[in-house]
Amino acid sequence: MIFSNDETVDYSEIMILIDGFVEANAAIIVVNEDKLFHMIKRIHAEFPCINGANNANVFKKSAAFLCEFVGEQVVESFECQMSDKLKKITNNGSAIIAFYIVTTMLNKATVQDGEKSIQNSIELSKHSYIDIIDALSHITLQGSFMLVTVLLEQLVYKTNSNLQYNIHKLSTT
Amino acid sequence: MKITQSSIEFNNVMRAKTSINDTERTVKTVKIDNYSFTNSNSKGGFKEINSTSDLKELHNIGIESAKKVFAIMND
Repeated sequence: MIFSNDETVDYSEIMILIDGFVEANAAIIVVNEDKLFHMIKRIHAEFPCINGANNANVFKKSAAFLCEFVGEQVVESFECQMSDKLKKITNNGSAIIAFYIVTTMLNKATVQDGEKSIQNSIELSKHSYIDIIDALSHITLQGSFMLVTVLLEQLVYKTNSNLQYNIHKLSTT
Repeated sequence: MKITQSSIEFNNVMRAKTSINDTERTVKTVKIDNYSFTNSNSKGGFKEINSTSDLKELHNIGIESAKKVFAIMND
């Protein structure tokens, strides 16, 4: 799922997930197809790690997708029932859809050299969800890539603690 | 592309109904007859999508995930 060897395949899978969102929630979403296809090509060609996309883990791939999807404002308009707090967030449509795609894609993805997989979905409180959408609403690939990578890692590790490498306490209580 | 309803169908092809400026309606067809996925990534990767049945499953997973997102969006 995305970062396959065919950009058209990636495009199809992303559109299918957006279509799923529309079907489930009676949303109306305007997607700029040119921007979507262009950003897919770019995150393949200009992946922000020295070893390229093929040698990056799923958190870095997810972060690159999320940053570009939001930064390029692929979602031009987004109509869906939501809380007043979410409505106040500018560019909320791109952030909500990109985060939905990424959190869906991460399910069953493999990590740690492909030896383990993500079995449990990400869990969030309403408050954390709103804060994350707000934080994501103006990210860019250049400015936010590593922070978003770490965010996604830690969200996954919260419900999949067995996937973490050895952890250490950073302070005393 | 304005997506206003479940607009993607699966019969070896994906049909996405599109509308431009709410007036012009066309049907865009993307044929998916060579659905290959090569994961050469030693660091791990996303779940593989290899066939149109995998695509249908992805669509269904998306719907279920979207319902959960909608719930938290309106909590």
